[in-house]
Amino acid sequence: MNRNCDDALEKIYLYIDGELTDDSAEVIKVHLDDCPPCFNAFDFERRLKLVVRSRLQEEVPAELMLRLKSIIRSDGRID
Amino acid sequence: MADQATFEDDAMQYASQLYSAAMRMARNPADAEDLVQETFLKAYRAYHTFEAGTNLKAWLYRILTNTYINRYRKKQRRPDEVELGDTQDLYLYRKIGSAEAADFSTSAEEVVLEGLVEADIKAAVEALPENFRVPVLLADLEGFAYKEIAEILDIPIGTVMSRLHRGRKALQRELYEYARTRGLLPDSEDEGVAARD
Repeated sequence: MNRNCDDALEKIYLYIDGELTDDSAEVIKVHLDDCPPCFNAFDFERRLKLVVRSRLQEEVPAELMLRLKSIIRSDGRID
Repeated sequence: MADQATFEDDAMQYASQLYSAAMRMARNPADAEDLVQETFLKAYRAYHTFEAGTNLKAWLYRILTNTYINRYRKKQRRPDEVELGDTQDLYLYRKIGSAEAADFSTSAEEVVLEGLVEADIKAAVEALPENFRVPVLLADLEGFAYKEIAEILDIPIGTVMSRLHRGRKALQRELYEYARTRGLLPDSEDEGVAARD
């Protein structure tokens, strides 16, 4: 662990979320390419975000879709 | 100004995503359906005020979250807080690491990522107080940018960042408990919070 590691890990969510400027992101990317422990941490967080996202997906009930369409087609009125 | 006649074509594509978010907000299917239905009704009626060409998805989520907050938020003076104590950043990763000795094998992480089932993740998200849960959903489930989340929730971007930071930490702590309960962590895991450096 050195200062580059601290800096990279502190910004890891900003990096994963795509919230850094191109220059800052490039600094993190260069560090991750060069530092397996930080890359592992990054890779875990990145994949955890994807896992959370995919396992929160719900199948929208067909009946709800029909109701929504019916609301729209009856011009915003509910039966 | 958007044309009501195109509302169905424009907005219906987001129904399924809105429902996934509504399920984690309302925490049961009947209320989630009501929430989505009310969101579409309000959106349809207000569609003439939507500026065509701007961010329709964010506009719909703003209606959804406002509807949710108005309907379900308990009367409270202050937002809920999450008690984090000295919970570290990268909490789950570090806890897995502390159980794993110092090799760089990814297998322990893999076991946790594969082993946390839908029910665990849904319950962990639902355990977050609403003022943390909603930003986490908007970022992690929907992939909104911080600036969009700030606009959807009408809070400063700094508040978005701090709620996301704290909310994700709390989420990881919950997920760690599920991973432990399911026996997804290596046996040597009870060494406390030794960090992997």
